[in-house]
Amino acid sequence: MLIIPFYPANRQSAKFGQITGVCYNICESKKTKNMRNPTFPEITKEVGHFIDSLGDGVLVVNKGGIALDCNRAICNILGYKGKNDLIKHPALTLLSPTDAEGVPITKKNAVLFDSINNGKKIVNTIRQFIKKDGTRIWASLTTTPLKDKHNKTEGAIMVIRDVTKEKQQEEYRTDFAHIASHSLRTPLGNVMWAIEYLLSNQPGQLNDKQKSYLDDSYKTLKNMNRLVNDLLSVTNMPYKKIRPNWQKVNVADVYSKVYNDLQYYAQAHNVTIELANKAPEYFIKADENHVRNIIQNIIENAIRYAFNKSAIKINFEKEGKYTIFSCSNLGIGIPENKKKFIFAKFFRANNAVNKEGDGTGLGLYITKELVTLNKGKIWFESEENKTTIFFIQFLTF
Amino acid sequence: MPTKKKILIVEDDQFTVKLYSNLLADAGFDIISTPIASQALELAKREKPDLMIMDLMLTDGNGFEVIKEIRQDARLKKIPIITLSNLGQETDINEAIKKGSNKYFVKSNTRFEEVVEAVKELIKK
Repeated sequence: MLIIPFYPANRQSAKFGQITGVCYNICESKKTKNMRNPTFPEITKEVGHFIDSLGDGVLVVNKGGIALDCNRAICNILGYKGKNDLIKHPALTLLSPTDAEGVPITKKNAVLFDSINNGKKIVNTIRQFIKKDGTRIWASLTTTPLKDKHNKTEGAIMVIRDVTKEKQQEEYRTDFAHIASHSLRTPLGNVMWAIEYLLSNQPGQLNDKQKSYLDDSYKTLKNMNRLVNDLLSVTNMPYKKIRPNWQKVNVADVYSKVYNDLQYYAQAHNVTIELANKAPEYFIKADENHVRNIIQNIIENAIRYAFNKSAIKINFEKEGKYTIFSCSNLGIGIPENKKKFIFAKFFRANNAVNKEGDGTGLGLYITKELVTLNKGKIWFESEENKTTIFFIQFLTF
Repeated sequence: MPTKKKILIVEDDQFTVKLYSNLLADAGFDIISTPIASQALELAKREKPDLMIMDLMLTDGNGFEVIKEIRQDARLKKIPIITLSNLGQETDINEAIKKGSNKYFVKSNTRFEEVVEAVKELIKK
């Protein structure tokens, strides 16, 4: 009987069609007969052809970690001419593995032996291997114990995916984010603080004309800073495993910081921000920085698309194990036929573009991603040229 | 008259140092500064600041290491440290906190008043 089940480790790897587990039928081989237990699982010719056609490298080892069989892909990945260069050699010698930080892996901490000794499958461990020519590659390694008919582990199958290109791209993205963060934000931040300082009147009283120019400059810089933040978030979001730093967060505290932050912005748009119930002390379970971004994005949007001299209304309510934040404005609203696109990346409705030309179309996309990361929900009700309310459900602490 | 609390700023951008110095001096603090990471430790030992403000990307090294060294020095380890950087990635923030920074602000996303509040709060402790 021949069984070849495929176990994608997760949805991400399933996209690449990665194989993380293979079962073998039992028979005997001449090539490595003396190195294997008589009951060791064997690759049949048919399975061998199939495995040879794979893009991922496959290496079969006995319980001593000696290579018994492999496919063509592993030879290509490691830079060997043929399978015979690998077979009968210890896997650790062939791969010279190090961990992600470059610390050499020994028999004691090799996932291969963890898999063999404990009979468990270990999925997607990131390792660096050294190729035959001495160059390094990044690989995602999955090891599955191979068991005989008595369910005794006799070796393991290693599936190796070369992720060097993905790793390089990740490094480029990180470098870009560092350079962009530092080189764009530093001058922006400095000039904004300098303007804040001047507007505080501490260095001297400003006349109305001076104040008006500085207000406009500040508003422009704030917008540019928002654009930089949005672009950096979007650069990182799909690739980085952003995990919330779960904390007990007082939403009233976060709101009051956001409220202070947005005062200039609200004044410039001639709208007010009103809290319905007086800053209740609601505690939620979330990442405080994420909550701040979420609340700020929603209120900023409400200000941007509100009618002149209107009020933005904020409310917090407890509903069972959830705390609901809501923010309503009286403004241009969201056209009915655009509602389904509102959380899409780079989407801006026509009426929004007409009213405010400077949006990035990223704010609500980022907000929704952050809400989801924090196990929350976001939804809205809106009527064009009337009221729009955004609701966000957080977990109560 | 009570002695003014002393703040050591480790920052290599001259405009930033000028700005911090003015803003913090207006808030009632004495300011000393160095643009050089390798001098920060010596200056801290000599001047015994009540608080340090650290940048992370410095010309001659990284601020993470300075924070780590401060936390490893018996005489300096209790000095509160505020990291004021424009590196806004969670990995950077977590790394600075792990190394021993008490607070972390992404400069361009923070109003200076918030920094002054944090300075006052940490010095009070």
